[in-house]
Amino acid sequence: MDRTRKVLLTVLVIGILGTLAGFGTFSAFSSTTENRDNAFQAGTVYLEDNDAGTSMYQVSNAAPLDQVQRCIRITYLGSLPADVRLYTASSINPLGDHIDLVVEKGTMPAGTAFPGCTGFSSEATLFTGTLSGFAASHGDYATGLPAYPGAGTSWVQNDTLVYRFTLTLRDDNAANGQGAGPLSTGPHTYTWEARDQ
Amino acid sequence: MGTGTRTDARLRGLGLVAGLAAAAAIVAGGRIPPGDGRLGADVIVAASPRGELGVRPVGPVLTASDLRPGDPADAPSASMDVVNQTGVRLAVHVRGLPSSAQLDGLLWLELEAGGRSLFRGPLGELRRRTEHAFILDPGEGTELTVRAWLPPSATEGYEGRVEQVGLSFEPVPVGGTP
Repeated sequence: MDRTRKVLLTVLVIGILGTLAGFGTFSAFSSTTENRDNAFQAGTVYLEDNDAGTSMYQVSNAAPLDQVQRCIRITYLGSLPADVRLYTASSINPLGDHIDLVVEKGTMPAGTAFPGCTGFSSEATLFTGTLSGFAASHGDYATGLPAYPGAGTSWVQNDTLVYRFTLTLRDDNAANGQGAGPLSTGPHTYTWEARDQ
Repeated sequence: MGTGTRTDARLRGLGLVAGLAAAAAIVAGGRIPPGDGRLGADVIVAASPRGELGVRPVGPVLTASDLRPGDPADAPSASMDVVNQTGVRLAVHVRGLPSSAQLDGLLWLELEAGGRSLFRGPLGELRRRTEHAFILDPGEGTELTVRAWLPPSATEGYEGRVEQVGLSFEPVPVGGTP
């Protein structure tokens, strides 16, 4: 190999190495950008009442036209706007045909303890009929009685609404069990269900 | 004429001095007060009602801005009314739900119900419900006072923090569970 070829070969090797080094250098350049702290949190739908686990009424030995009036305060603590409906999924025994029921919504001073109604101010009547009629027509959420605090059209966090129940035993001898023993409605449960709008 | 000229010169000198003094006073008066270069902490304490308990006011109760380490006696405070709306006697415990843990060991809170101390300690300890409770008969209400401060030992870590503390009430029927 003559001297000229050696020189050319050296230049060629240096050129190839330089090219590789150049590509290597360029490939070390990079850039990124990022979008941080993404999160997804669900809202809540949450109802509470003030019964502390006790029933509104347990009436025994009622006479014709005896009446009970009870109030319960419902408080919405969820974060999502919601509808709230009242219904009973309970079966009511035949005495329910002889008990008139009126359900009203309204306001009441905070100091009135469950199940009292002192200071209740009615805003609207939600139901008038018999206890059996209520169960027959409002047995689930789909048929439940909707109501909202004041003139609102949704429940929002910390809303409260008082429901007043007035039950009267009709003056009807059909409610008299006579020798067969006293008639009863059987235990029944009122349910308030909230669903987000 | 010579006397008049000297008098004018004196008056002009006095006017210059008076003008400079007035300008200096205006500049000094409008100066931004020197700061220590540190931000205080902002603390908001809020309360929510429960089915069993009425609370007034609902929402932010205590808002303390630019809170700095200092004497607890100077701590900002605020009060709310808590009412038992159930038909049973309740023992009410309180729990704090801070929006972050940044001030857990720095911020101190004191809760008083009806004049009796319910809790006094760092915010982090209020994450557990208070050991003590206040008792409410059916329909009875009480005033709950909350006080927040940074003790002098909190030398750093609070600067520029914004903390929201939700007070959660945990009522237990006296003599049993619901």
